[in-house]
Amino acid sequence: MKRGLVSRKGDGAAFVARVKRLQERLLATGAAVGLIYEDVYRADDVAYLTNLCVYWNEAILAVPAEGQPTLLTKLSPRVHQWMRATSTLDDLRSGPNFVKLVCDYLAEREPRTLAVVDRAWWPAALLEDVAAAAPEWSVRDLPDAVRSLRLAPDGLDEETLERAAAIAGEAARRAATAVDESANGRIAIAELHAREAGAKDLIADCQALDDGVEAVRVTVQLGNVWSRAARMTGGPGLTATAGPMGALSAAESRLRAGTTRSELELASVDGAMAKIAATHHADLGSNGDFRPDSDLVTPLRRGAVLTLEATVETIAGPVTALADTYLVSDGGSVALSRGEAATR
Amino acid sequence: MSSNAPTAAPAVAPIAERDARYARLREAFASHELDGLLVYVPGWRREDARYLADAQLRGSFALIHLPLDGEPTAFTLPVDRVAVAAAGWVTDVRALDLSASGTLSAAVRGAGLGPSTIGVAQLELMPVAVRAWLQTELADTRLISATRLLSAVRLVKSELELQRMRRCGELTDAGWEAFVAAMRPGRSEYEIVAEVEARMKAMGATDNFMLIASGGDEVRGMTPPSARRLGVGDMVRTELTPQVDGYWTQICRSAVLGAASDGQRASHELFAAALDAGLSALRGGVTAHDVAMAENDVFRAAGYGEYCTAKHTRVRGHGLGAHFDEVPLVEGEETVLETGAVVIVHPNTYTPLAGYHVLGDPVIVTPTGWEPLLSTTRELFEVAG
Repeated sequence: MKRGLVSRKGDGAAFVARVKRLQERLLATGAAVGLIYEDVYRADDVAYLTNLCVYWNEAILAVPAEGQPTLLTKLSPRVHQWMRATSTLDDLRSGPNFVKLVCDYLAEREPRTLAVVDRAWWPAALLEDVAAAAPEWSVRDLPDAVRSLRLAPDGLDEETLERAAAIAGEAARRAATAVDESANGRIAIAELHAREAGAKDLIADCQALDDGVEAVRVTVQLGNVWSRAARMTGGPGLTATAGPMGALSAAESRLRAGTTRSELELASVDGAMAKIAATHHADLGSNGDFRPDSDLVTPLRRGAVLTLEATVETIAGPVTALADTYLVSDGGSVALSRGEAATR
Repeated sequence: MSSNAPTAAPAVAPIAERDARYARLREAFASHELDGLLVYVPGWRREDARYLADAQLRGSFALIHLPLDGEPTAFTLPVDRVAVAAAGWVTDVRALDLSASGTLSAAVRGAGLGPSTIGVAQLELMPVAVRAWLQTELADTRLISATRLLSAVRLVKSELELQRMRRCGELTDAGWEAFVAAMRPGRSEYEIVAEVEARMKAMGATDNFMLIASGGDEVRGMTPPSARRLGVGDMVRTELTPQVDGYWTQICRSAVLGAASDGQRASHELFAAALDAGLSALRGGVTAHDVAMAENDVFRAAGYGEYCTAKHTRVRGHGLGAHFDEVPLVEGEETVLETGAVVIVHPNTYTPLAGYHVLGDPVIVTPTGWEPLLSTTRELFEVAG
């Protein structure tokens, strides 16, 4: 749940530039308006464009090809003041019915093409009702339009990603190295460190491997970016730790610009003791469940930030034993969550 | 206030509990002429999966099919497969692959269904990609919304559900205790939340929904925390909502850093009277409207009726359970609150007396009144500044 620090909008120019890039895409496709639907679970596109935290319920961001974005939300007007203080948005419209909010917004414009960002993940009923209520608009899909921007961190995100990774790494380290601590106690240690360091959201778990070893995985949202780290505890036998370490090390050695997720995940086949999962920072909040299939074979770009996880099978299912967040460069990578300097 | 560790609850719920829930659902099917139920589980609304599978899901979406007769089938992302099976209620767990052909239709047809009508919980939230898969897999099946049906069934809790909510209530008390302990001059809102969060996670909370606001009479509502630092005289409000074993309870309290002002005391008296009135109106068989009106009448009698409107407040309380925002307690909402339902009565709103004020307690509805889930006193807390 997003119950951590929601920071002020800070560098407004960065958000203006992000919206501008989406607007260029809208213009290129002939769309007069782009609509983004998100909910509290999956709210990263809206946050990226406006710094708004959708802390509950659902929201639609309407982005015209020219001009300022407008938020259409079921959240009460009572929080408009807070939304304005913490986001770049000025035009906020609340109401119980999204169809009416969208149609009222569209009615202010000359009917043309309406681009629906990531149509596949819109509520089908809502989209049908919007199309029926605004038949003069031609609706088209605009897949991956904002996520693809988020994959290439800009200056604002670069700095935040570095801090987020440091927080995740330190939270996981503190939780894993605490002596004689219960699983709940380890999670509490991670929560306290990450949230006191300013995390907006946190997903932490502590699961048992073999030989008395436990693994603490911490996924941190700081500002509008995500990072992940996982660390293993010590134990009476340490055989459980060798597989994940070897697998992660092998994947790490292959990580550089031009590599694909597929190649990284295949790196674990040789070791067989642990599998590797690679996830872009832009997909961590929803565990990669919404990323397009093409993501697996798309070469990583210089400056990309992603997490590598070494996962082992246990009686309770797959458990992430070790994870780090990396900045990708032409010649290799930097493990941001291990405190390595992000020299570019 | 309680500071004890929560009492233990059974880790795996008995099959008898599952069967009782399925029997209630199937009775509801029959009255709506449904041949089965399909539950769509988006990442932010997992309550129906808890009710049907008693599992803690982590994936972004899942589907569960419950036929009129026979065993249920779950379709999950890889991250949830073991969790659902381990819970023991749904043993047929299959991969949710929207490009796969025949898997869902096989499960539904295997239950003996031909052309039929299936109720779909959360159909309104089902995304284009998932619904397209359903329409391909179940081309000759009529899909209608069963969201309200399932909400109605979930409204009345079983003894096991109440046991979990009582345990969550103990943890909620401890969360408030941690909140008060964290309040001190110079401490920021988000640092307070960090301490509360750590305390509740250490005690076994699996999640928490929490809003906060600090300051004076300019405060109009609660939000996620800011970097604002507390000063003497601030009233700090919170709605703290932990989850334990899939069930949520909530506490709403306000606390002043230092001695409360006359306005803050007057505000507390008003809200305490409204809360008392709401609770006095509550018993099995009354409606959500009845409780909300009782609360609002206190404001109206005191000349603050305008602050009970949507301009200043959302609801006068709401249902609790596997979701933390169930049936709303608002005037005009005629849902009957039956014995065994759990609600929080909270007349939270803004008034000019002291700004936004929160005070509320979750209770179990009984035939003659209610049973409290919290032991925290209903006072305006004053914390040494």
